[in-house]
Amino acid sequence: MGLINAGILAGLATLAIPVAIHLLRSRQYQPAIMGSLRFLQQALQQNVRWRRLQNLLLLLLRLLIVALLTLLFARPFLEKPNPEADDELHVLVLLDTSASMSGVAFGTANLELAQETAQRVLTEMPEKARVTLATFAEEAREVETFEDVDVEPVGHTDYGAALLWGATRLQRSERARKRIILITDLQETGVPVEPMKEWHLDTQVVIESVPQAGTWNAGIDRVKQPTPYARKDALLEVNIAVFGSPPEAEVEDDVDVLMEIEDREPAKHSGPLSTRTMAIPWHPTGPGRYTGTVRMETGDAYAWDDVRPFSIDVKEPMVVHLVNGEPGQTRFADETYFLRQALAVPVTDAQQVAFETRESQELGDLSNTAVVALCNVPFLQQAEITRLRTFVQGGGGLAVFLGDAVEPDDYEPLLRAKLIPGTLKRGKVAVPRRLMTWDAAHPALALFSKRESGDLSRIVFRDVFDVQPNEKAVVLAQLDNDRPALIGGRLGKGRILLVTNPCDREWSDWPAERAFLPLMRELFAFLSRGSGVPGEPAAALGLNAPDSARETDIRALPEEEFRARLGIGAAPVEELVQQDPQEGPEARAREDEIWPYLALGLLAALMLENTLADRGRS
Amino acid sequence: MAVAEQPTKWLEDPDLFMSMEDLELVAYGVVEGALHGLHRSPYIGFSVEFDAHREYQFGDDLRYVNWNLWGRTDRLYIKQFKADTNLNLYLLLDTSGSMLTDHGPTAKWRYGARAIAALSFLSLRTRDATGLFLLQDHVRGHVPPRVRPGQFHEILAALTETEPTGSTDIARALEETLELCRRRGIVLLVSDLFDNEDDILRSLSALRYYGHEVIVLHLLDPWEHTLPTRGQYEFRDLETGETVRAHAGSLRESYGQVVQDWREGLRKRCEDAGIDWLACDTDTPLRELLIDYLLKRATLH
Repeated sequence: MGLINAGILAGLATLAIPVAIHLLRSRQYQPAIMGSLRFLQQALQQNVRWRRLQNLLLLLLRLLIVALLTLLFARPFLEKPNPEADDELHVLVLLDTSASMSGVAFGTANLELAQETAQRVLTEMPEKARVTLATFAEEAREVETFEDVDVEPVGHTDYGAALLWGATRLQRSERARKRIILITDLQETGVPVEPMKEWHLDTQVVIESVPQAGTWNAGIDRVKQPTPYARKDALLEVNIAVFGSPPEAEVEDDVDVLMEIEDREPAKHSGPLSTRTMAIPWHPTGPGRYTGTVRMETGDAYAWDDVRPFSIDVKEPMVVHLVNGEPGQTRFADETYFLRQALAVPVTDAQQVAFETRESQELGDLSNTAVVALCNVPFLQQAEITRLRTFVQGGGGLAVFLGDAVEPDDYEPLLRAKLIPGTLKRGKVAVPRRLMTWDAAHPALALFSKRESGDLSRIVFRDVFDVQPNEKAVVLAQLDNDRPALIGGRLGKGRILLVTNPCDREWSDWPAERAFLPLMRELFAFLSRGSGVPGEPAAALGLNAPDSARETDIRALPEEEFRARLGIGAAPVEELVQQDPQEGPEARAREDEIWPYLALGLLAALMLENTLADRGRS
Repeated sequence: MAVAEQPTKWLEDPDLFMSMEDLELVAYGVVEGALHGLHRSPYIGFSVEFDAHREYQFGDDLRYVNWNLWGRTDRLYIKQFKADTNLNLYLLLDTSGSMLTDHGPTAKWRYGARAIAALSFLSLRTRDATGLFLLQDHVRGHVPPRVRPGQFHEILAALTETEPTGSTDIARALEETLELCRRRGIVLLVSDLFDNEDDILRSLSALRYYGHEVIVLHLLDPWEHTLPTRGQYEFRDLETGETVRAHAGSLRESYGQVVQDWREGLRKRCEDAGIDWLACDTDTPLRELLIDYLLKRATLH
């Protein structure tokens, strides 16, 4: 049997009242005189037993009345064995230890509030319930006790991962009722973009929310190096994110951003909080990894994102060796001019590859070279062919641009050395043709799968070199008369590209097309990615924990929206009831309550007491 | 007329006198009221013997003028009568501590004293020699039976000067009374009889043996007859000081039965011994009691 208003049982203390009245009354006698007590004593002798029994019965009845009345108000109910029982309950308490929980308000960190909430939850937990404790930020981790959670809150919130981990953990439990109690600040950035489709609906989620420590937050959410390739005067971009409404004084005052990179003098930059992005100059001494810290001072409640460690990698650019087969009178008339200009454009994205070009009329030294480009080169010496073959086999890239200076017979040695992926038949076929098809699935041309990245079909070749691709060759692009324009091949670890056109404007105007520059950079980047080739492009690093940057956004969701965004269903009925202080669980009626029987019992006891008391009085 | 009617009303409502402390007025009021309601005069049977004539003097009652003699002699003569003192009335009042019980209109002893005052007034008015005996565990005081004019006031004085106290030994007191009542007469005992019944009966029987007509007026307090319906009381015995705590309501029935059995037993034993029995409580109107007495006494002659 259970009680809806168990607290009323304290009213059983009032059992002392009838006892006290009984005892008190038994001691309250009015004095009366009698001529003789003889008959009184005789009468007493006759019914002494009955009177004692009557007194005892009256006392017991009055105690019973008080007890029944108290039980009536406690609203007992018969507990039927059902899966709703507490011994069928498995509760997983998930405590948010992400960085946003480090916010401090009035000297108390959010995490401490969360720990207090957890202690309260554990205190109120039904005795028979099985309890598992876990903390979560980026991922959840089971703990023995929350008292050990004294580490500084770090990492970004990932509610989806934590809840799925918890649900999976509970699915292994043999208990029928499963419940997750989520103690968190309901941070919006921790919610996945899409609601969780695989959520286990039989797992209830009860949310114990902890209020955010502050109404605004400014933090360093990004440290960016525009290019990983070393320059003397490099810039490091520090991005400051502001969420909420900072006080006016904070907005107007300059904020100092201090950047410290190992063994260097700290670089300081000041600007208003609204600047958002500050470019701080620094001087890398060469390729390698640099680590440092960037910090600023604001008056928000969250200190963790005001100091952010970062790492950056500095690389050497890719070296492209241009072999100029037809030098001009001026550098603008050089065979390699347009190609050189295309490769020399500085990169702005860490994903782009920076090139450094070297140029000569002979093959020359190939050390530290990533790609060799033969631009309308009439012929190569056998020794050069041998070195080039070795270079390509070792992973180097080779681009061959044909032109007026090229005779098919002179390229036979190259063909035999498998340094060109096709047989040259005859040069300069004058048929103006447009570049019609290209393999957008090929890594070298993937960029051009969308027209906005560059429309290769605008390229028109007035003349082309007639080439028959090898069996193993791959035609990357064709003209509208099916003549190949770009032919790819491999040799050893290296990649080879044969272009049936020169790279100047002699046979076409393609260097003037907007697509020329990205096409050349993509092709050479592809050639440079041969296995083992030095100068593999690498992403410039930034913050050591870049994902935690979104934790700076402290904005919280209302619980209902939070639930909807996660797809975890509405709050359990019990929780909803607890949230409304005007309406406690006692406001709801249960079908198995037995108060009507108690009321009948009370009525019967009252009637019996009245009858017995009247009998005593009459 | 209104003034003249006032005494009559008083006489018609003798219980009014019960509230008075003056025993003489009580006796007067009670007796006159009682007699007023009787159809048959109680004086019948109590003849007055003629003694002599004397000449009329100013102030004599004209009712006693012998008009026949005036017609013959033309002189006024007054008839003189010899007082009839052929009866002695012994009034015995229990003045033990138990008579102090006072749960009704008045205390038992006060009720008894008023009854005795009324009876002595009535008796002396009919020229019976009336005496008073105040009983406790002995005869603590008495007024010998006489008919002299100040006898009534002497009885009243004895009653008012007495305050009940001590324990009861009615039997022994009755034995002493017997020594003092040599002439036959009527013995009226007013008592609650809270004593050994056998001893009391033996003493009363002794009085009968010596030729007295004995009337017992058994007087009880209402609570001694019937306990109250509710309440818890610590009952204290007025004579012994002993106490008993009891719930009145729960004892009422059995107590009433015990007292009734005891009283009925006494009545039967008295009647068996030729002793007349009158029972009353302090809430019994005195007039009714007096009428009962007069009717009872009428049967004795």
